[in-house]
Amino acid sequence: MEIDRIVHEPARLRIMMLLSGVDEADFNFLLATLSLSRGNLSRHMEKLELAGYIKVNKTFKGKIPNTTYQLAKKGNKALIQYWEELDILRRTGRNAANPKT
Amino acid sequence: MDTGQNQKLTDTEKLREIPTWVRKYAQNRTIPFLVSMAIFLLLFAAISIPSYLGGRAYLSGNMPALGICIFSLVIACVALFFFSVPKWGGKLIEKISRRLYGDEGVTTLPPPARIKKYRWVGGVAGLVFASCVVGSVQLGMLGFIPIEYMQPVSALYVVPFLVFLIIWQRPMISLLSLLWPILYALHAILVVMGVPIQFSGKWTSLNMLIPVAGYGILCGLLGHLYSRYALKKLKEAANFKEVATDGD
Repeated sequence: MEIDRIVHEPARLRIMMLLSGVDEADFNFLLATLSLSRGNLSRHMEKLELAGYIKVNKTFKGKIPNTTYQLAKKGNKALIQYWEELDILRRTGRNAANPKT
Repeated sequence: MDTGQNQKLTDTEKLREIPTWVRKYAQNRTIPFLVSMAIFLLLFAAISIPSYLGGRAYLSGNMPALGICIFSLVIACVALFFFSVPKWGGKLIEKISRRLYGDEGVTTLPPPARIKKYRWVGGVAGLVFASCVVGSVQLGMLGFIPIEYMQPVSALYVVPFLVFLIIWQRPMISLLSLLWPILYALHAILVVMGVPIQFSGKWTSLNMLIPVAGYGILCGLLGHLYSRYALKKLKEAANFKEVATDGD
């Protein structure tokens, strides 16, 4: 079984989990909640965008640029699949460790 | 699977809490509501104080004071009009809220599909509510409703309207906000039962202001406190020591 490496990376998994709970979140919210550096968060967002897992919306609030992110359908599907696969791996690992149970 | 580098399976349970806490946090971001209530109170004061003082100035024949009161009233009415237009008032509230939230950023919940699909329902509810307000005020002014029973009478339409508004906008709004109509209803029941919680004399207006704005602000503050707790829990769930630094 091949786990989706885009989702499996800890920071990206948290970003996707966070976006799965809301409609959209802006860059500052992700930055403050996940305690990542600006550059690092940007790189993770780029990777998620390239994979088609998130939608990016760039606007202006007055003169200040504002970037918001949404979890795309593809991203949601990937996230659900990731947890399913992880659960299967967990069960498999547990069964292998305790063959009697 | 390269679990050693990236993800400990045992840690993942905490991650499943993230969507729950971020949703609870977003539902309880009540600063925009508190800002609009503060503006409402300011406008209420800006209209009622010059009205009261203007009346006294007129009775005592103090025309310069009356002029100042009328001028203040005109400014307050212009401000009221400004805040009534969502494009202007809404923008200002959003701007103030963003400043108050500071570096916390913004996150929103999706509006339920029914709001877009049945837009007319909200319009009809608003129209019914406005008609009830105008009707009860008229009845009160004509003496059909004693002033001390204005709040209990208003509870007959305010409570269902608030409950409708909260349920209609779920899950955008937290269930905690149901405390507002509950307190409003309890207040009305206590008044009808004759419990001495009414103001009299020049403080009579507080009999409506406290249930409308006071309980609203109380619920807004409780919601805000809960959002702080939800944010703390969210950060706990999302907190981790980062391994990768290059985005891989």
